[in-house]
Amino acid sequence: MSAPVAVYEKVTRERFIDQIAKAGRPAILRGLVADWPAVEAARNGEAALIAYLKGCDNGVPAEIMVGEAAIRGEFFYNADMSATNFTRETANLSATFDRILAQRTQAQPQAVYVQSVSVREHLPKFAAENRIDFIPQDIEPRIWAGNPLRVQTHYDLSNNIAVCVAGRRRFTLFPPEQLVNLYVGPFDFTLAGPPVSMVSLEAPDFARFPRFAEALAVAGVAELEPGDGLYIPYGWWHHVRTLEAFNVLVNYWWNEARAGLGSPYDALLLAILGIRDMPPAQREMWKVMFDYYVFGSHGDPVAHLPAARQGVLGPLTPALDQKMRRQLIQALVRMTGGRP
Amino acid sequence: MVHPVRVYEQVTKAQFEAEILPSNRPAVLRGLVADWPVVKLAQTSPEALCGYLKQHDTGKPAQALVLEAAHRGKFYYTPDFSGLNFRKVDTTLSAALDWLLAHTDHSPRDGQCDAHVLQALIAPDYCPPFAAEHQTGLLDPRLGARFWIGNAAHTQTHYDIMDNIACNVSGTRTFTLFPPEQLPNLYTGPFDLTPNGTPISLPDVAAPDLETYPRFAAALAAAEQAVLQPGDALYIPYFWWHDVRAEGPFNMLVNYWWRPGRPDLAPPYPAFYMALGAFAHMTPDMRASWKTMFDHFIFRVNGEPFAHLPEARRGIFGPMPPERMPHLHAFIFNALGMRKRP
Repeated sequence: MSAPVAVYEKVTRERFIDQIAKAGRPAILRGLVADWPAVEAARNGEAALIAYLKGCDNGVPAEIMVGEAAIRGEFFYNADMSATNFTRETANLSATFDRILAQRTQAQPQAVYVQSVSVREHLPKFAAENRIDFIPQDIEPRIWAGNPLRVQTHYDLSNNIAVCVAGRRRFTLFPPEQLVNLYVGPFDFTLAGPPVSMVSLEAPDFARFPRFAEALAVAGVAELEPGDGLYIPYGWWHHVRTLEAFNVLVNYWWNEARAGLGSPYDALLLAILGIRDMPPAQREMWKVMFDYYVFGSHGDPVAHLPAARQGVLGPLTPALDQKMRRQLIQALVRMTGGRP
Repeated sequence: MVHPVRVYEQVTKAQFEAEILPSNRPAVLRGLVADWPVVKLAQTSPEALCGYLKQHDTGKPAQALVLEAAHRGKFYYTPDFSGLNFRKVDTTLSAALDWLLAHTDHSPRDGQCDAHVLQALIAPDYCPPFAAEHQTGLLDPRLGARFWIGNAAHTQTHYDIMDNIACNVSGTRTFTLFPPEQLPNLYTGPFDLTPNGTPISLPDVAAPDLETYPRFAAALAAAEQAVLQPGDALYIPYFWWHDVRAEGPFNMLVNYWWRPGRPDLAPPYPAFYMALGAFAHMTPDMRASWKTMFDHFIFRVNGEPFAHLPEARRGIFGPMPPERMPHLHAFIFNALGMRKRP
């Protein structure tokens, strides 16, 4: 049903850049952080790890996600999609670590999740003592901790290296082009940022979502033990399941996209307003424009022009950025009837 | 060698709407405006036509595009693409007509005189009685006409995001048209400096340099050509690229533009520019992810992307009622770091 994810051992900076990132596919980085003090602590049991984490906690409260027992650890929408099936709380992290582990003995365990919390802002000693030498210092580590949970299939607009510190974690990965088979939910009312697949990974309703079978056929599964890392390329969809009573992960997101000039989502939104609802024949003409200029489907669209006249498609300069921004703003001003 | 544009004679409004418009292909509407007063005047003499126009000229300032004789009528770039090869000159309709009448013995095509053109003058601003006396019978009578007047000028292949009916009044005009999907074979010029608003195709239709522009041969193979005499009209569909050559010593064309389909939608260019900025410099893999997103959610290559959700839960991907637009405008300006004025 699924494809294995490539496994690399003894990953160095060169190996990561030259082989793994270039391949553009997920990769297990076996034992990448096996020597971290936090992983060492985890090997001595949950109590030892929690003691270590508490020793790193500066007491700054963080936002956590909490779901009642009925959701069985599966963060999602409620039945009619009018709300999420979990709530957010602001909590002390040390107390939350205890609360996560305590669910193990509860008859009606809650789902408790520390999601994407800045390690530097909340556990500065952890950030100082647990590093990956080939990840640049300006890339911020984030921590994820919880009991047995399931995070619905989603994507991130970043490259990602995720390392398992404690517990076990199963990632199910889908290439970006599987979008059509994932039955994506709303963009403007999401669980935690990006949209999610509406299909349950573990109990898919193939009557409602028949194409999901095609996605499953090409999905990759990666199971991480403490000390293992996983590389998830930009835009790859992933479902995450934690498998032990106490699971901790740290991840690093980075992005090769140029900042400035608005976000991909703004472009998507403007295209909803201006292009999506055109009559199909007219929309097809804009697809020709997007394929040619924006997505480069026929090669470099300005190869026949001198560099100084390649505009936003040519070499980037601050002056060009300014000009592009002005052009965009003028177009938007016209669009809104001349009143910015 | 270039295919002729199909020709309709005595076309009716019903036929235009049922047959020609939905086809998304160009069509010559032979003799559509043969009985227009200005066409009859043009057939008498350029002086007679200009007499009519000058008689009604409101005197509103106009801009002429002036191209030196050495360029032989071809409005284009300077050789290094640092600028355009023509200049804009402030004038009036009557003054421009006088200049053209004084130079009908010479042709820019032969390098004997400058090319002078007036482009897209809004007819009611320059000739208020025109609309009452001239209608196509095919379009909403309130649709404004535009005047295109000049000597033997050559407008390089470009597109408009409008539907267009062009009615030839005086002189002979040759249109060479390329379907939108020929874009990859047209070797288009810059977006940030254009002769007339939209990018142009760089190869010369009449004398293409196929060594520099080899794929242009494929574009020519897909091209269609129409030669209009006074009284003939041409329907140019949205986004069809067209090269226009005026042949006579005094040429006048009247055209009508309208936004077909869903004129209530936001204009498409902001999305295009934003997408260029956001995606054009991504790595190929990242860009491919976004192409998948646009194909699926915007171009709907897989059908309705939210058929699995109730309409009320599709959010911004659901139906977009006009009352939501101002909210979205504010959202977009915020995204650009601009504040909407109260």
